Formats: sequence, C-alpha cells, structure tokens
Amino acid sequence: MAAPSQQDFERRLTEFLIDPTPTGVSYCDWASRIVHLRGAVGPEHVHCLLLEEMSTPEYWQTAAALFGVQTATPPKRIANALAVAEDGWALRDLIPRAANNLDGVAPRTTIVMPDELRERVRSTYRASNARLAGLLGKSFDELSSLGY
Amino acid sequence: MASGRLILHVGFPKTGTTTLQRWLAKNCAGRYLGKAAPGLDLPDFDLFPALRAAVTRPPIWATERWAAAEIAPVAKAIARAIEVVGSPIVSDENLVRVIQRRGRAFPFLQDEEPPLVGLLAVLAQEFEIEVLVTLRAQPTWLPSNYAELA
Repeated sequence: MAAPSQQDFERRLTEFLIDPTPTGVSYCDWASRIVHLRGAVGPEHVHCLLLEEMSTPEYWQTAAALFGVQTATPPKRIANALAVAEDGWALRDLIPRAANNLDGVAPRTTIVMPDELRERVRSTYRASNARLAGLLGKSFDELSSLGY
Repeated sequence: MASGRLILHVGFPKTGTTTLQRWLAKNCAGRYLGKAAPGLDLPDFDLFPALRAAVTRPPIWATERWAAAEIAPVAKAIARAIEVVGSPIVSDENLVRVIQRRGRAFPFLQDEEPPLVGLLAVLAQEFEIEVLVTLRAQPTWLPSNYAELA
C-alpha cells in the first residue's frame, strides 16, 4: 500500500468517485442514511446538526433543546477546529492527534482538496444533498452555500 | 414503554463530535454516559459498551441469534439507565459506521445497511429514542476521513 500523501489521496478519491456506490447505498449519501434512521425510529425522532453551522447560536440552541440543557453556551475552540478543515488536513500518522493544529502548530504534512476534485465530489452528491436539504427544511442553495 | 427516553448521538465521525461530546460532558453531567473521556467520572450502566458491541459484530444482525445475543443486553442497559437518570445520553460517532480499517481509505467505506439501523428499529418498539446525526459537507468530510484513517 502506498504511503499516505497528497498523491495517494487524490488517486483514491478519483477511484472512489468513478463508482461511489458499487453495492448499494454510498456511505456519504447523507440523505439516504437519514432516511434509513427515520424509518427505524420515526421521522420526528431523528435530528441533524451540521458542522458548518457549529459556530452559530442556532446550532447550540438546537442541541440544548434536544438534550434538555437550560443554557446554550457554545464551547471554546470551535473556530480553531473549523480552521483546520479549511486549510488542509494533517495526516494522522505523522502528526500527534493532540497537536492536530489546535494550538497553532504548523503540521508537517497535510493534504488539500484540489478545486477540480471538490467540484466532482459536489457533483456526485448533488442529488443526495438536494434531498438532504428537503429533509433539513432548508433550500438547496442554502445547503450548497455551506459547501454541500 | 419506559417513562424516560434515550438520546443517542450516532455520528458521523469527523463532524465536530469531540467538541459536542465535551459540551455534553460539561452540560449534561449525570445523564451523559459517554463516549467517555479520560478524567471524567461518568456513570455507565454498561450501556455504552453494549451498544458498541451490538453494532460491531459480524453481519449476522438480522438473525434471531443476533437478536438474543446483542439486543437483550442493550435493552437491559437502556432500561436501567432510564430508571436511574431519566433520559440518558450516549454519544459515539462510531455507532453509525460499519467497519473502517486504517490503511483502506475510501474503498473502506462500506455500502451495507449498518447494523445500527436494525438495532434501533427493534429498540424503538420498547423505548422512546431520539437520534442525533451530525453531518459535514462531503468535500471536507472525505479528506478529513482520509487524514484520520490513511
């Protein structure tokens, strides 16, 4: 097996996108996964929160209501966690998890998502994410603006 | 049906779960049963390990044998947790994924119906269960997952 690297990441992702659903439901088809869970416990009992909205008051208000918490005070370090996602991803084998850029330590090896592959991923999951928007009560444009 | 309800955060991995779990541990003390973090004194009732065991067994989950071997301990643990704390909370981002092996990023993504769905369908007949799913846009989820597992 090739060592983890930008080249290996792009090769694997390209192969994955050729046929992301070889035997049925794709792992990343969030809408289908939500539908399956709704079928198991009932639609009104399945709740969703998006990482991209974690820095908003609404995210924590929703969480507080679900978990029965009186005050929806957001935790610290949310901004740092999201910044890692936007700048690149440190390969775990090379970077200790505890120093995963949360303390401003520059990772030695990272991967990034090339624009062309990003658009191919979005295209692959466009139909699924359109369904997801409906399940979340959002417009597709709204969900798309979050990167979906 | 028991009077309390189970609140279950099932994942996905790499969707801010650690931040959410730390928030739960701080704000839901006494009801948050894990994913346990080092240094936290959390009640357990065997619920967390029973759930993990039930969804990580080989795929024999549709059989009567699976039901007897795996569902009964989970149901017993849920009943006990509800009896003691009312509405227990469990968060484990690994419940929703089937099997992921390090070194097999992308092809490792299983396309089977996850055992969790079958498990919840049975448990929901006996308990009120609220399920929280945390998501992330695929263009950032995929590289994040690769970085974690490659």
